[in-house]
Amino acid sequence: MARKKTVPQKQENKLSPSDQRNRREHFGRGELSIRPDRSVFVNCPLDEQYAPLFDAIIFAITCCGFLARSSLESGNVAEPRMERIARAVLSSKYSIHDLSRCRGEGSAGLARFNMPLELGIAMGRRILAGDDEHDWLILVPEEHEYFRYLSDMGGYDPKTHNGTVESIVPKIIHWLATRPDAVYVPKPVDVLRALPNFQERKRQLLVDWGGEAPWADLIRVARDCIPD
Amino acid sequence: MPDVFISSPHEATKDAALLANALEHKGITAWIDRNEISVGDEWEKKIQSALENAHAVVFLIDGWDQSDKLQKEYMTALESYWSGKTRFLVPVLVGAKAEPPNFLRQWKSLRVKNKSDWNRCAVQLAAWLHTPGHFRSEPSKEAKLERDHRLNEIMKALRQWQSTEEDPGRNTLPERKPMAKSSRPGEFRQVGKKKNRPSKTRK
Repeated sequence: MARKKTVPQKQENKLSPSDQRNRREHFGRGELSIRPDRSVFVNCPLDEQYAPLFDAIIFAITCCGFLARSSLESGNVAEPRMERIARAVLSSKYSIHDLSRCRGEGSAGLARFNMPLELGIAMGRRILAGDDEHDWLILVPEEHEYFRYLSDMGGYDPKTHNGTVESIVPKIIHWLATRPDAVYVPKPVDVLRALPNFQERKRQLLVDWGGEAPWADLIRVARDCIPD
Repeated sequence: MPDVFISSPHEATKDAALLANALEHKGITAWIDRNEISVGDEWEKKIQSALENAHAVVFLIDGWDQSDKLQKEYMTALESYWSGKTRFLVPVLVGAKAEPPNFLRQWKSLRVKNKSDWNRCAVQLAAWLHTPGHFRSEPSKEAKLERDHRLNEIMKALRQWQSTEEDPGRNTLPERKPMAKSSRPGEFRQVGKKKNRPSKTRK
């Protein structure tokens, strides 16, 4: 009978605590960690009307070699939404904020302020951790008078879009391509050409999951649709 | 409309002037902010307009400068090239160790090690400018492989996340320590944190 090979206990103990930690193939640590410098938090409306733009943003981020993160990513409903969002923002070096819905809606003319609130968290991270630790892209619709209700944003130079994927995808790719942590990025025109394929695959995924697919599956579908 | 827009970090203003001078001798108009922006100008708009209208954009790189101004110029130049306005981008690496930022790695670069190299640089830029048509930047195989490798790592982590239902990046944040009531009413302190109390040694 063959004897089992055992690793001498002394050798295991020779590793420093940090080396031992890094050897563990556990999510969030060692080889399997998601690094903040590769994460982009997406702060934008989650309504049906915005859905095509949301898909385009997620797809463009993936095409640029970054991981898109959002408040939708965690299935852990036991945790308050705000804590989930804060953690996702704080563990991402980059964030994209679309302030499209900050205008009066419905009969009461109420505006939604979740997005400026989340932008505030991102700004807080940059102020507290330093300029190199967080960077953001602010998107606003054309002729949007954001400076009237967010006058402190003067000087941050938001990028405008006209509510189409053709106007939003290039803005995201130009921005991500020129970040210090960028890798090769495809041309916006190639991403736009591949986008319908991603949208179709996503639609199929949602059908398979009865309307709400896991975030990891969504990113995997985006990964599969990246143009050459 | 200038032939060449020269984008440079603040520290490389002198180098930008040297290159502009060498280009002028070859009959090529060069735009540098030091010469073109006066007090009271809307400098951001002026830079953007010059950048979008130039045939070529030259980036002087002497290290990795991350100033907002430079990053805006990078974005505008890329946008202008992809929309067909700018014909080509050229990273000019100043010194032996300078490396182009990632988005410029697929472009042919020029390196300047001493003063005489500026003239050689101007000759090469003039030759490219006199070649008709748009230059295409072709990504290297390594560049694509690097992105694919990064995406594979991300997917590996996501698969693990899916199987353990653990939040990505959970461990990238410092753990929040629980708070415990202090001996003083209404005050809380972090568990495990020692108070710096004055020593009670008797004199």
